[in-house]
Amino acid sequence: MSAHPTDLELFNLAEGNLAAARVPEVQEHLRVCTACQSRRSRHLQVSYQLSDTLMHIANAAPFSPAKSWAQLAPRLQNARRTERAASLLRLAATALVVVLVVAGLLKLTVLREQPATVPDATPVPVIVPTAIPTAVVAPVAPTPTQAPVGRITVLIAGMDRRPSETGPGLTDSLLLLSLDRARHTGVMLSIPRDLWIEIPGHGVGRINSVYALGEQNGQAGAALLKQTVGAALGVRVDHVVRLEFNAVVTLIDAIGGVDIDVPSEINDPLYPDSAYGYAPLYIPAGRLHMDGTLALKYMRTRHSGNDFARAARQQQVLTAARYKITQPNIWPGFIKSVPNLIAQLQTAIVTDFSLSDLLDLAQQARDVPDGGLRTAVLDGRYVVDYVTPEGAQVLLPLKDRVSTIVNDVFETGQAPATPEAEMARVRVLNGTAQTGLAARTTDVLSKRGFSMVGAGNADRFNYAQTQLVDHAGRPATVKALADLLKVGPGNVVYRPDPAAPAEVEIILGADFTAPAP
Amino acid sequence: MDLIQRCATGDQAAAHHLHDEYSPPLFRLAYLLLQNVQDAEEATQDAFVYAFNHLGQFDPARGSLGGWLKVILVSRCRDLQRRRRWRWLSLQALLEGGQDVPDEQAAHQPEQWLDQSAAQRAVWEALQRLPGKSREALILRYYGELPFNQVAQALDCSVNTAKSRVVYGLARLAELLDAETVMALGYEVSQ
Repeated sequence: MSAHPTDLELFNLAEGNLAAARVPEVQEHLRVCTACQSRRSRHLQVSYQLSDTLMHIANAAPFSPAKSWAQLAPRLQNARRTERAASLLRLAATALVVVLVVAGLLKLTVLREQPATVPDATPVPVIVPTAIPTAVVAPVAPTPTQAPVGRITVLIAGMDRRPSETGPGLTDSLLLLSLDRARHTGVMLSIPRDLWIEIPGHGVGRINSVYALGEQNGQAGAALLKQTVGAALGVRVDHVVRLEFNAVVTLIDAIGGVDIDVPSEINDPLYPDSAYGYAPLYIPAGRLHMDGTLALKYMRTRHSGNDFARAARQQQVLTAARYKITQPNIWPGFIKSVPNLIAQLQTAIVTDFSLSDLLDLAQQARDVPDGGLRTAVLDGRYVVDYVTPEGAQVLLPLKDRVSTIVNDVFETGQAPATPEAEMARVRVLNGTAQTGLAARTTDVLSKRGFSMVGAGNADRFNYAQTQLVDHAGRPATVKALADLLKVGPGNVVYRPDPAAPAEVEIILGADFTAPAP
Repeated sequence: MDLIQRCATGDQAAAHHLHDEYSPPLFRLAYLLLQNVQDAEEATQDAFVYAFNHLGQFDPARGSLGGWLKVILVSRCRDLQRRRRWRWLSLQALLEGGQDVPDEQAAHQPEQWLDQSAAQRAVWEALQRLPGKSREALILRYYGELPFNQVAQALDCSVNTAKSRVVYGLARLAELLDAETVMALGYEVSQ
């Protein structure tokens, strides 16, 4: 007698879903094996009992559609009103994102300094090496002597979500774009979706699940993603732009498609369709004109090559789009399509940019000259394969190497900052109704060595939680204060403001307890 | 389709009609998942608010309106469960401590509908002993009657995972309900 079929095989046989090649064998086995016959009928019987029980309980629960509607109707009205107000704002914001993406980012030359290497296929031990590797990336091109005044860093999160799916999906394409305001240079760093990192307040997990995790827990996904990526890479992320993949299709179609040199043929029989099936993808090698849909597939396919190759293809499409946008002959058609574009992109792009931030970024992006944008991929040189105790295949960052590349591409190159070295001025603002609290706190902090400037009142007196506002990028000071005053990461805000009277401000909230002097 | 289009344009009467037709099965599914009448009502309403604002996303080619609504409902139930976790924990602590559950919480517990049938009570109790993911999958499949692609969508997993959860759940239920019979059959359920 052949080996017993599994429960799943028996189930699939009953549902008519067992692989045809296996059917005769399982049927033959069932004919002779009484144990499997009983097992199959027992499971079937249990499923009937279960249906009956569930039906019985469900039907007994009291429910009144009329009462439910009475509660629902006002909520629908409110939702519509809010929707209308929000849609105007979103329209304005989206128009700007489109201007930004099209006129700004894509105009830049993408300079690939190093080809993405395919990671070593040999298994890597689970132990994470801690030695500092030498010569991780080529030295940065000579840069102006002027120190960076500030940079704006934006995380572009591409969301892989089928049209029918609701709720937040996984952000499978993560691209960190950072522009240096003073030097007019920029970098693009692709982050692999399987990166296994610490998620503040949520243990460890894959980086592509952070956005959804944030949304599910009622915080903004963008905020959690910002915080997580910032902590993992040691880079301050100012903004997140989340875009669904169909936005890419719309944008590329609007510029009349892109021309891509496909280095080697792509044959992906497992490319997913939008209904959880497969839509086999074949792209021949050579120069190819791609419309938005094909370009998206080219960027998304996973089964040919790996996640790093995928990141490189995404940057390739962006480069091609940038070239296309500089061709004057596409503009008449493009301008005509803008209203349609805006309508289509309204829901596909979500960002936490304010209007002024957007204008600022668009300006910065335009100021970056051709050749001023460098790219990098966090590939096999910076991460190792790892299998979690639960069996998930992930990539562990090699922290030393990651910080090397981050220092290198972001030119942060200095030794880790300390509160002393940052020489930040700190100002306490009272956001509670308790008089004298700001002055007393100023006193305590001053004794602890912080450089304090005149205390004052906050804009209101009903702050529930104490906040730290960083106006000038003083992470070490902010961290020291956060630790001392027990301010959670959710209440630390980075709000660049050169005109602020202090680099760091503390807004005292109702939850504040003064540290011991 | 006509009704859906009218809803999409903000037609209140159409929305009312659609709600009355689809809310009872949605509520019942939510009730099985959440085991609490108030929570099930809330999840049902949340699902409608979402659905009415995203009617454009419904594609009849991919499944029925009822199925689409159920997928939305499950995600609302999960949200609600996450928000209420602390309460479930404290309720459990009460039960384990052997103390009386306050009356308002005891009201509408599913068990109270099962007084007449010992067999159904046994099935329900066995269901409670399954891992949550298997329990959800079984409820969606055998009460919600969702096809596996929608079970997978609702539970945010692959179709194969959804199937495995259902099959595991059935096998485990069989085992729990009749351990002796299973032993006599001479195979390992855990395989």
